[in-house]
Amino acid sequence: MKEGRFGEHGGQYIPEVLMDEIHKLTDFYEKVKHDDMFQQELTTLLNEYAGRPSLLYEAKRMSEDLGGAKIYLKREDLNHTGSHKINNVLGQVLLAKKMGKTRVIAETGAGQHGVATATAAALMGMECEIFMGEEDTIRQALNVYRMELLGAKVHAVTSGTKTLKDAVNETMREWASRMEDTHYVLGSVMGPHPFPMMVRDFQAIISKEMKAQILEKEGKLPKAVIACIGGGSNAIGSFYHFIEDEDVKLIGCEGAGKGVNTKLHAATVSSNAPKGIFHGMKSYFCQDETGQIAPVYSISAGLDYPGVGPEHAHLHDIGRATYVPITDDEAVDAFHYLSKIEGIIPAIESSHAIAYAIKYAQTLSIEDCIIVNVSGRGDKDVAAIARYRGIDLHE
Amino acid sequence: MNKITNALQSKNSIVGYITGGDGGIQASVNHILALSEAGASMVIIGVPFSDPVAEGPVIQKASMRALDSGITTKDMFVIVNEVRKQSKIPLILQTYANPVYIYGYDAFFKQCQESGVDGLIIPDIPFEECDEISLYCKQYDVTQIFMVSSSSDKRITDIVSKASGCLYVVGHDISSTIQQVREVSEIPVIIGYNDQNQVSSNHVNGIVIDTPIVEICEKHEKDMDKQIFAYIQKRVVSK
Repeated sequence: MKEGRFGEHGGQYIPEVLMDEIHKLTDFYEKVKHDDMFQQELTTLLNEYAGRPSLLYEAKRMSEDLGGAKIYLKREDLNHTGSHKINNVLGQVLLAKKMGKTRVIAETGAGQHGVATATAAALMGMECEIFMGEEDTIRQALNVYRMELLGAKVHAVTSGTKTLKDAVNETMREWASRMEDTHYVLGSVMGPHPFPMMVRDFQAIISKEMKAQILEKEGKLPKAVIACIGGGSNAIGSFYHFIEDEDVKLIGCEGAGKGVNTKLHAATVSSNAPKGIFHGMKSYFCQDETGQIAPVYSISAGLDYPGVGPEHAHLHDIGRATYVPITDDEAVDAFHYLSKIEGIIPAIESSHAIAYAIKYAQTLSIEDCIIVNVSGRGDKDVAAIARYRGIDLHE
Repeated sequence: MNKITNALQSKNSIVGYITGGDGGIQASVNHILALSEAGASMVIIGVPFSDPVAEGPVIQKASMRALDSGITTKDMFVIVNEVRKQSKIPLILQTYANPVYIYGYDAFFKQCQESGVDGLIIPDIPFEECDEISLYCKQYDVTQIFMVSSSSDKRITDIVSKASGCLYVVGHDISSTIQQVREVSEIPVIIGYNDQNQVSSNHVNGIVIDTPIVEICEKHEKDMDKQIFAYIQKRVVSK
């Protein structure tokens, strides 16, 4: 009866109204997972449309400058729409189409997932509506227009804290009221089963490529794979095919905002947030002592989520992956650092992984190599970073 | 017979709903007593939660009001304790999984029993996950009220087989869902206020009057108890 568990985490804690649809989705996904036609169609989309495989780039100047391990950057920022989000979205929208759906809905924080969903919907001729916290529509006004340009309707969510978690709530409500023709393209490895498994499968292409590429370039596995984590889709995508290789350290970098000792952070695991049940899953969640979900904060709207996906919670429990806090200041420094030293402007989300890599690489020797996932490009963040540094720049 | 089942024997009963602690603990106690005196057969107390995914905008706002004024899950038991001094009306807590999980299942259910809570509605603990709490329900004699929707379809039989108290029917096609339930069980059925036009009242045991009552509380006027009493009494009389 208990489907979709990662240790004790995961599950299907959703209102009855959605249950039948979730069962249908699970069954349908299990079918296409092993269907060669579907997988081939998806691979063609990923290669011909999204531009996969993405490069594994050796950051020579950065490695030399830090004087430690050789650093490789997995360039998910070079994908179409500028982030790893397209991997999951192409899979889910194709799946939705095969299920006979004509409309997709999605939540978005920074707008990356919303833009990717709107893109895939345009490509496959689906109606598309995006739910975005009102705060985020202001922080990321350019992405709102981008989604509209792609034919999507964007709803500003005004309930609760008006950010990502409330956008998820509102998309769930919308789905519950209209399931017949609509699929909810969840953007991360969270929510009720089958989403954490399905989104992981679609993102696992990242580590599949990483592994083949690093073996070709180095003839050995990396010491560590480092990725940023909000809900955790790019992180699980980067980790997945290395989970069995126990000598490869898996490190998730959480948004620690102003610091884990303040209230202004979104670092769920590294702040020792308690277990809970929320958004359809059992996992770790930032919350108060009475179980009210905390209004979290990070400079990065994409990491601004009060929980982590259930598979990450499990990897933490069994000690297979490590989760570390990275503050706004550290991430912004890394944003500048990578831009200047390698000519690559990383997303502020990915900058959290870069920040940890800068510290970590220096503890290793030149014989070692590590891989950092650059989950997205930073063009969207330029104005916000300028403002963070006190420059009055608006888009 | 189960106290909830017993209270819902007649057709078209009124089930009152308030958001616990909206306007203060004493206000909630007074509102529940007003509902009871006006002829409601049962009262649902909505436990304030930061993210009430299954609720509409009016109740979401009430939940936020209560939380902002410092109300916690613990206060629900204070309310129930007070009501129990004056009324035996069946009381249901409608909450979400997380506040109960964090309270600790054992402590929460024990408190339910001690204060006099008869049943629980937890929208995000569906049939598939009910093992999460079923042992505690049994141990402390608290009924989990299951929801059934028009999309439940083939699962209705399974859900009904585990259900006690009553079933809460929601969704787009209440009428045929109730029919499906009736084919396998005589369990009382309650439906939401917004769904009452979908089905002849002769087929339902209780209608949950939630939004109209919470709207009265939202106005926060002096004679709220009287307004609630009048609103419910009018419906009871016109039955």
